[in-house]
Amino acid sequence: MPIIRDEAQPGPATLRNVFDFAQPSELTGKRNVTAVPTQALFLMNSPTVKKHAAALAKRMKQETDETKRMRLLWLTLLNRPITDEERAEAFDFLSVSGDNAWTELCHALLASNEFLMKL
Amino acid sequence: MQSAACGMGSLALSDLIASSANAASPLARRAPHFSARAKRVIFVFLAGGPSQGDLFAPKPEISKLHGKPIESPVGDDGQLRVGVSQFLPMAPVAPVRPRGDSGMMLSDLLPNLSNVADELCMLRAVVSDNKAHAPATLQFHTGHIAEARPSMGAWMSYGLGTENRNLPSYITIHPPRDGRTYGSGFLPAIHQGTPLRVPQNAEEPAIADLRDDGSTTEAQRRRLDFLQKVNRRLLDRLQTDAQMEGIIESFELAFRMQAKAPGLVDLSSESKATQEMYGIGTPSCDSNAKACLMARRMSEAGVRFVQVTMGGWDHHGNIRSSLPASCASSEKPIAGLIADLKQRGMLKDTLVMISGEFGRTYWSQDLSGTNPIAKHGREHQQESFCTLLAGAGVKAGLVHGETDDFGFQPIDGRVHLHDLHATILHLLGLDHERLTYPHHGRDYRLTDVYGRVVDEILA
Amino acid sequence: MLQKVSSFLAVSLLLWSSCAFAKDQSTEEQAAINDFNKSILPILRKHCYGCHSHQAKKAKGGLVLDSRSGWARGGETGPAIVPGKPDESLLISAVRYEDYQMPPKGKLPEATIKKLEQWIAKGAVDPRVNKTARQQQKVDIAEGRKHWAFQPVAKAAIPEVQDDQWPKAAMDRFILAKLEQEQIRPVIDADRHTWLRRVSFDLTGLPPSVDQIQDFLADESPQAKEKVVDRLLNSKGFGERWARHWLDLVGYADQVGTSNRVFAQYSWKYRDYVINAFNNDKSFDEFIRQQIAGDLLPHDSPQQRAENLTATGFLVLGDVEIVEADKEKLLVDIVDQQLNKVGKAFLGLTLECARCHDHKFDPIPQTDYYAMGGFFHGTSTIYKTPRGVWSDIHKLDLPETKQQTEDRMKQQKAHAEKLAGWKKERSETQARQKELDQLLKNDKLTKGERDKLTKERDQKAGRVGQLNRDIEHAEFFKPTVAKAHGVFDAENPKDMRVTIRGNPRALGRLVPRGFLQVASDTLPKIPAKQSGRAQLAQWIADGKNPLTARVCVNRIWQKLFAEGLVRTVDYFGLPGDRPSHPELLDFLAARFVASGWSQKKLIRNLVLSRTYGLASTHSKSAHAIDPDNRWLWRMNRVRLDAEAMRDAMIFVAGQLQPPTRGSAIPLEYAENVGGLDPKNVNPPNF
Repeated sequence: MPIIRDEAQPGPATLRNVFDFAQPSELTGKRNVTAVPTQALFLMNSPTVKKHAAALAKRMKQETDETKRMRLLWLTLLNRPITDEERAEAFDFLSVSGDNAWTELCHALLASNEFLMKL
Repeated sequence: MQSAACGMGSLALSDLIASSANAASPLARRAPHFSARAKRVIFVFLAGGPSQGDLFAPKPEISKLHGKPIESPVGDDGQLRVGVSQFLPMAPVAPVRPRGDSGMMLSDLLPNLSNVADELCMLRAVVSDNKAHAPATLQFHTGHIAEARPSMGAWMSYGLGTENRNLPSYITIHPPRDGRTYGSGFLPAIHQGTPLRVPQNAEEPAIADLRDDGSTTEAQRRRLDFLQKVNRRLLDRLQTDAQMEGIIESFELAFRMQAKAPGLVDLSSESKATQEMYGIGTPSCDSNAKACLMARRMSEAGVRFVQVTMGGWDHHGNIRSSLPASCASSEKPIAGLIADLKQRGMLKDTLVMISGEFGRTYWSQDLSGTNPIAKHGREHQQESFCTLLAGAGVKAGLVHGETDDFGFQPIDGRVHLHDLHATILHLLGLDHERLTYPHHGRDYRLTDVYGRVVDEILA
Repeated sequence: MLQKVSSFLAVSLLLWSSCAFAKDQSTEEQAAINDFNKSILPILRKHCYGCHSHQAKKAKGGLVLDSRSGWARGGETGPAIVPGKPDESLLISAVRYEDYQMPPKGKLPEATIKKLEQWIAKGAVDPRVNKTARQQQKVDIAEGRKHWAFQPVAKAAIPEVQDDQWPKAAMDRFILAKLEQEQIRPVIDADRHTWLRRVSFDLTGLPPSVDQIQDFLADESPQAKEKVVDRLLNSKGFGERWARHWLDLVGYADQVGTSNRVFAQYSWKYRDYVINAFNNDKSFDEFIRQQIAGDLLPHDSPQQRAENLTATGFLVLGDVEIVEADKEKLLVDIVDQQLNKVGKAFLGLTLECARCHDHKFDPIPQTDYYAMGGFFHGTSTIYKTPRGVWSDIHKLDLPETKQQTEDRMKQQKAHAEKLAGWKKERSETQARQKELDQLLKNDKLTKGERDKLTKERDQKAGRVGQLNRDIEHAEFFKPTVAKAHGVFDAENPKDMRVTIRGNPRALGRLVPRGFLQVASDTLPKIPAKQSGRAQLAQWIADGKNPLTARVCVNRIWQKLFAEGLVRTVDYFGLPGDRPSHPELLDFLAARFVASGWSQKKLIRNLVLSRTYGLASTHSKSAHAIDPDNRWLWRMNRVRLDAEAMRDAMIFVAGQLQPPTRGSAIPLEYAENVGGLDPKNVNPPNF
């Protein structure tokens, strides 16, 4: 949990700064919550998110049965069972997404509101 | 009303009929309340509080009393009200002379800006409400000194939408630290300023993560479509959530920005003459020059409100040596921006505003208590300071407002920040009393319950 | 020349208008003010101020005309001006030379007198604010106490509800009673998956694992939720998560300074203290006492003393100014920061607003600021470093147990050996480098020989560079007695003087140390030669303090429900938000104190409530009545904060390592320090 100010500390600080980390200069009991395109860009393109997506896909692939794997992915990420409709859509997506399909799917879900929000 | 929700909330905008086909988007272009003189705003924020006495509004009385202690104002209770024993009237650190046809006073430290003096409209009695940087900065941007209210750029974005659906409607280059200064407050999140920085080296992008290295556009779009489908399904299930809608919108905008923004932040397509005009390549002002040129390109591309922040104006000590450096870092880029807008015919519908969050005292400040006056600085002053305007709808060459002989209290043409905000909205065709948003049971405005359009400065 | 005088009078008046939001004028008023400034003010200045202003040696007849209230109150003969009625105004009869003959040097021209008459006839608009008028508006403490937040925490009766089945916990009854009153039906309960995800994030900042989900779903016992909550509360992640919330209020970072920063090497000790405090459910009153006055608290073991000292890091970490030539100014600025922090974190007030004048909104006179400031004025936080204008925050030696001393000796020995080894290697490598340089001077070498030698020389040079960095780093981080950043009492703690506009050289009267009058009747008994922080801490950490428990309970509520019962969680002053459920807030605050200030118990109660377990789905009818969800008919949805988002991504990727604690900059990685470029920061100390 290192907190170095500014950009002196690379890595997680990027995510922190993009997503409304409370800067030490402002003492606050309640952080801002913003929604800007720079956050979307981070979630779509940053190497950080891509790396996690790849690692997640790799982890999921330990389950060889694809239907079970899909169920596991939903349970892991969104912590709930997948619906039939979602499963069908996800497989459709996989079928057109080439070699990296599972990573692509993981990436999309990591950027999704349901993953990034507390409902 | 629910589909109009989009965080858009209410009847407040029902008289701003959406003209765009994409009316559901909170960024859809909307007609102003009345015909506008300005289509867009570029705000150059000189953070720290530039000294108006040195730069724009010299006072003979001060120069005459230079270095002589003034008597202490003592309150009824016999207590000293101000530590004036250390505050000596201090003459401008460099000559200030009349410039251009208008004879507007500008310092020798502003040679390039002096060349465009006849484009400027100078407000000399601007007033705000707080003396500390953070609240004053917040108030300049949002109208309020403490809360998280929407910033002026967000209000403009909300009122008018965007001219370019591939870019945010509000961009802030090198934004002030406090996110509230470019926040959207209770307005839909998509109206908030998108931060941008001038790259310090070739590898550094102006906007982080603008490229998807390793995916084709098609693959990325496919992924995004899937993501948005998942997002929309959730939204359908929950029915209304301004924040989620803002996030969904931000993804689409981000996707489009990827195509459009790299070209915009790439300044190499600009001619050598243009680059030189802004001061690009001059080490003292290169970064600000690039920021100003980028601002012009963003404005040209239809971004409603662009802000460029230039720091380094907080001259508490040794202003004699530090003010020239601050001027050198910024005045050529600003002058270049105005001249460039003019030559492109953009100045007639672009409002340029140049201001600090407050000004500085005409008397000196010496924190050590031992320095000679040559090493003194100046303290913050929000009771009166100068703001420069140029372009769309303002009287070029006009000097408006005056303060007393000590440059302290406005005696004529007082313009409170709320009045300034009201005037800017007015120039954009927005009535500051009608541009409202319902929140916590009442309609909020940029100008709260205040504000008067300063008709005297309108062309 | 008269203008000079008056404008400086204006200085004295207007400098007061700081932190507040000055009321602006309407357009009409503005025009009238402009008129006044243009045509009336010059007359008054030129002809009257000489004898009738605060600047004048003696205000003749007790009358001053340099402010509105000056003439409104008037002199010995009553008000000088009756707005709207020039004929009844003494000023007019005087300039007309009727009763008095003013100005005495000669009657004013008729045109000037006309101007004055017209001005008065139009209502005598005068924008000059006067300090006499302000003084009459002295802070009214008794009136201020009527504000809800300064009232004692009331004993709240648990309300009756119609639907007796719905509430699970006592707090649910307060929520339901209000909903029933507003005729709103709460939405359905969240499904078990959603609840588990929610509570896992809230308590530990992490999502549940697949195993944890399955275990919970399989547990059909009525205690299933309680088991989950207890597991989460007892996990290490709980303290790590909740410490982060607290650190936001402290401005915690591994550097200190405002514009210029230096590495605060021992920050992490404070951070770990906070984590442990949450994990061990340290009672919140003790948490307060340690952080404000740990150095003054009694102790019965070296560990306890070390913990007490570490806790005072609260007062020194974060946005502390360290670069300032004027040490007196530095001192009062630090007092300001500490008051700001204590006021915000524990009391939900903006004490710093009363630095230059009485608080604009709250019943906090300026003297209260200095009464409380005195506690910190007598406290030592920083020391001057030998380098120019730089200061640094204190590093306190922490007492060691015998075991710790022995361990340290061992570490020091190992470290010295490692360092010696590196130094030996470095000199050997450098010697070889020199040798190679000599060999390369031989121009008879074949290309092959030359390339080989060049390659070796480059390798050696690289190694020397690496060793240089490693050695610098290792010397900096050499094992010493454990330290922490903290404070201690200054040599001769005294009361503080009012500083005028924060200027330490423009001093006003001495204010005896004391508490916020509006929230206290007592004066502290401060032991001789002490700062009094222990007494301050005691006052704040008292169940009778109307603010402390409410503020704390509300903060915890906000972390769980996304919005506080009082939405302005950091500000309970007059313009702040009012509690949506005041009785509930008091009920929770009272129970919190009665429970021994246990944050874990409070959190446990809240997350096991029916209200916390509601779904976050929409309800048309409820939304129509309460679009803001003020009455909590559903759970608020909220985006994860940065840390939870990051951790969740790494967690689902299966790569989250448990945090190691300890230094933020692991000592074994020299590159962690390289990024900070110590040479640029503060050379001699770094």
